[in-house]
Amino acid sequence: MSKLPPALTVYIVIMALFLVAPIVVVVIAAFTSGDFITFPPQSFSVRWFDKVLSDPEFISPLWNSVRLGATATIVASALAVPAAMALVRGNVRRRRLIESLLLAPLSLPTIILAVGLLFFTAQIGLGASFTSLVIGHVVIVIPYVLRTVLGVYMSANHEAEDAAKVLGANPLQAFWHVTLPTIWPGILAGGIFAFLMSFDEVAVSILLSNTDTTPLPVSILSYLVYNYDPSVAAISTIQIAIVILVLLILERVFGIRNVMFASR
Amino acid sequence: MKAMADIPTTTHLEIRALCRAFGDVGALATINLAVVEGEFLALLGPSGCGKTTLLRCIAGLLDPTEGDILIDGQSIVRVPVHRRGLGMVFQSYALFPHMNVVNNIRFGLKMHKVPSSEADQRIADAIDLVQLRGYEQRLPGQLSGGQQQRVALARALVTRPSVLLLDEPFGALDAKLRQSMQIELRRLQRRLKMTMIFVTHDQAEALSMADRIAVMRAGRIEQLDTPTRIYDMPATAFVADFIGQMNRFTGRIIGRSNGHALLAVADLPAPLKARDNPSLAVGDEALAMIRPERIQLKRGSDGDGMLEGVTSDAIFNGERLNVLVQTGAGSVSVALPNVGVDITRAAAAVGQPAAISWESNDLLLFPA
Repeated sequence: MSKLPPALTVYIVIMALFLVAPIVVVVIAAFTSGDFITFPPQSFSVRWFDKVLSDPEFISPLWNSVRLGATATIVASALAVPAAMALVRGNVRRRRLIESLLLAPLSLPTIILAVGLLFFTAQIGLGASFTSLVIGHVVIVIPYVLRTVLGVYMSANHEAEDAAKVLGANPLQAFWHVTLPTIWPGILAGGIFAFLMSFDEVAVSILLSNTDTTPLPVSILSYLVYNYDPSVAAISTIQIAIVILVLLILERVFGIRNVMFASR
Repeated sequence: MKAMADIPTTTHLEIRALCRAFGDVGALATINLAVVEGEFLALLGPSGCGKTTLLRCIAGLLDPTEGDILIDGQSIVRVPVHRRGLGMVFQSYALFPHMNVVNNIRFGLKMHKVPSSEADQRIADAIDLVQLRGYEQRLPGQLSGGQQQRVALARALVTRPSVLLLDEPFGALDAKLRQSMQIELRRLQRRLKMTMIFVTHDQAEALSMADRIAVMRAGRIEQLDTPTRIYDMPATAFVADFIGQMNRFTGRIIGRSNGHALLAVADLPAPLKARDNPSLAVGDEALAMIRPERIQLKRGSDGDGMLEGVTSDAIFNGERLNVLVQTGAGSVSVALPNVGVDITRAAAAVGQPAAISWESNDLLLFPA
């Protein structure tokens, strides 16, 4: 590795400090045996992990979040892929307008979207249900999938699809055998972002969840209002572990680094 | 040069009054064309002339606005692209990047549900045909441009298409490779006796490969003819100019004498005799053109040339010496074949008086 200039070294150290240090503190604090979050902990134990893993107050929100993230990611991908194809290849009028509209949730404050969705879902009779949550999260995560798929698809050779058709593939076969393998890295990269965004989302989740569908970030927030025991640190550590596990598996199976860079 | 006699004259592919509105570039205006069985036809023209649009209409990748396309007398315009049974080679090769060579070639057979034992045999034959044995398991990204080109060709041929369409198939290859692929394709086409239509903007490629050339311009076919006739007897000034080099003179037709037209050119003392063009009347403005290699050059000015002038430049390119002669009618380019003698002398004569002459039949007339 080449030697970095001093200014860059300082910058990296500060960045790492602010990004990584809080996470490290939370993870270490989760292993305390005491009754309060202290850092560094006086003694270590896994009692708070035992507690949260047997506490339905945390376990069912964790399951809710995984379910919600996965569903929202799959639905968002199913919507974003055809949209990207139409935007790139189709003879779409007002292409840029539609594209910006689909990407708008990126720049829109989520709380505004959440309030709007709250009224909207109440109005159409869905109320605060899992379906409403999925709808809200899909709107929020579509841009992540759309952007990466657009990027991959735009740089792909479109004549390959034409070649498949001339060789006898009907539109569905051409999509399945040629288009999908081509844009797969984009779907994967976008899907990872989408899942992580949903897993972490608060505003829509607070307004659209009910007691049975509370996602994890919401339950952590409400727990923090009245408690200051290390349960929160423990469940957060589990959450971090899940994210790292997902990334590790994807790295092993698909080579996430290639995927992330290929999708730019 | 081309063995036209070998080609049966049954129409294989016919295009009737085909139109396609497509903004300004690539639009087609009433194309009529009949391609015979086993013919190798080139669609030649500058970019935006509609040649690729025409090819994509035949393939079914674009829908014509009007008109009909028939193969063996059956209309195919309503048949979707994947049921037309054609083959196509794309300029970008359009190989499937995630499939190896064998699976790229197998794709069409799989789509046509060819039983796997037969498919394996046909794939092996196709790989032999394009000489890619040993590369079966490579991915397209691990092949050179020429090898990718051959995979694309094998992939298109293995389905035994009734017509093979090629869109600038050699556009992305370097000059040497391009030439050897051209020879290979031409040999293959003769052997398989397959009807092929290829699009190119390279006139040398069209001249050397095609049985017939359709020269296109602004969505129309300007001339459809054999390469020799396209080159020697261009139907329009555009074709004359687009194919090869031309010297141009403008003038007015002032009369006719035993089969020749007489063209008065400003600043020339005597009219030029030219091959007559019946579409021109006496008094019309006309454009006269002659190829540089049809002009003879003589040093000095002994008075028996048609035009006299001074050589201003001589550019040697190996197979010929191109001499520029400044005459009363402007600068005239003369191409002297390098047959060994006199070349160096002629090259040394820059700045010397020279006289040029030609056969009157080689000076072609077109409406100005």
